[in-house]
Amino acid sequence: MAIAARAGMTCREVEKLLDLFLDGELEARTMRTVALHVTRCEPCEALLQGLERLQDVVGDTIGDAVAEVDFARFWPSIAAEVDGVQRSWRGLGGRVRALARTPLVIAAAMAAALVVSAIALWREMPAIPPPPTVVNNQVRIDTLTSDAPAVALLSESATNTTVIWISEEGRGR
Amino acid sequence: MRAAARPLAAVFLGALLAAASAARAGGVAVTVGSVLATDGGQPEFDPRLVAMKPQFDSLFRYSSYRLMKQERRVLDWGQGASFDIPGGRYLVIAPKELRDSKVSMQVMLLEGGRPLVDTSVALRDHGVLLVGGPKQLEGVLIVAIGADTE
Repeated sequence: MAIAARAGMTCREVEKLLDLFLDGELEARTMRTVALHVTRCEPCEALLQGLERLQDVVGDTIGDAVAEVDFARFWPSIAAEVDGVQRSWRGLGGRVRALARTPLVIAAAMAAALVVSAIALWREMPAIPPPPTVVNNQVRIDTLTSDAPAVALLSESATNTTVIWISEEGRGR
Repeated sequence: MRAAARPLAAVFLGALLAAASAARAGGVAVTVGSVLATDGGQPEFDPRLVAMKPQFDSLFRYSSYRLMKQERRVLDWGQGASFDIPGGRYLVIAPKELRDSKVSMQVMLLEGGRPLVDTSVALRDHGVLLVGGPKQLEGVLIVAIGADTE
């Protein structure tokens, strides 16, 4: 009870929010409060781990069920549909051949072929490389707390990349 | 002249405010990558990490780096999210606001019931913060946290 009071939420309140916590649907402050409570309360942590396992099992079961579907059965019905479409196109063939004999259609076809060739040539041209982007990973750290025995901040000058480095080797020293 | 400039300034200010609120409304794409850094054996650099190679070479002295897991999620401002990290750890990230091209967020790395890191940071938009050190298999874990506003 004292643990729950320290974390700002009772175990009963936290239990109700664990589903939303796992789905990442909690408001930021509540998320943090639940996370802090769980790290300090063994029963709630166990409950969260149980929910995580349950989610994994449900995910695996759905994956297995999809894997077991026999897609080969679909092919006969798809082949029948394709056959029907092909028959309707055969009727169009004669009309298209008659149209192709008219000069206007021939000219339009040549123009279309020229446009397609121009687009193909344009796409073949080498792309202009984008200008090099300057990486700047500058970070401002407002607060930092840790349960680890030692924490160090490292920084790299070229890109201002910061590392929060946790060392567990200082334990007991 | 001044009277004519006033509506123009108002329009400009309005456009700026609209752009700022659009960025806020769009949320932030958070990418979390878990990298296993090891020493000894054949040196190896995961090609998926090539963009980070100069920083890794400058900051660390490990011989091999392998991306174990990567996850990208778009989060609303004020919405928290939990990312699974190898070794039964998880990372809670809650973006707060975008100000001066910096993404403010709360970052917590939790392991076995204790917060390894609980920090409030302001990271440059499109920037990356690294959290490293937890032991993982035969090496250490380096977690790269990136934030991109849309």
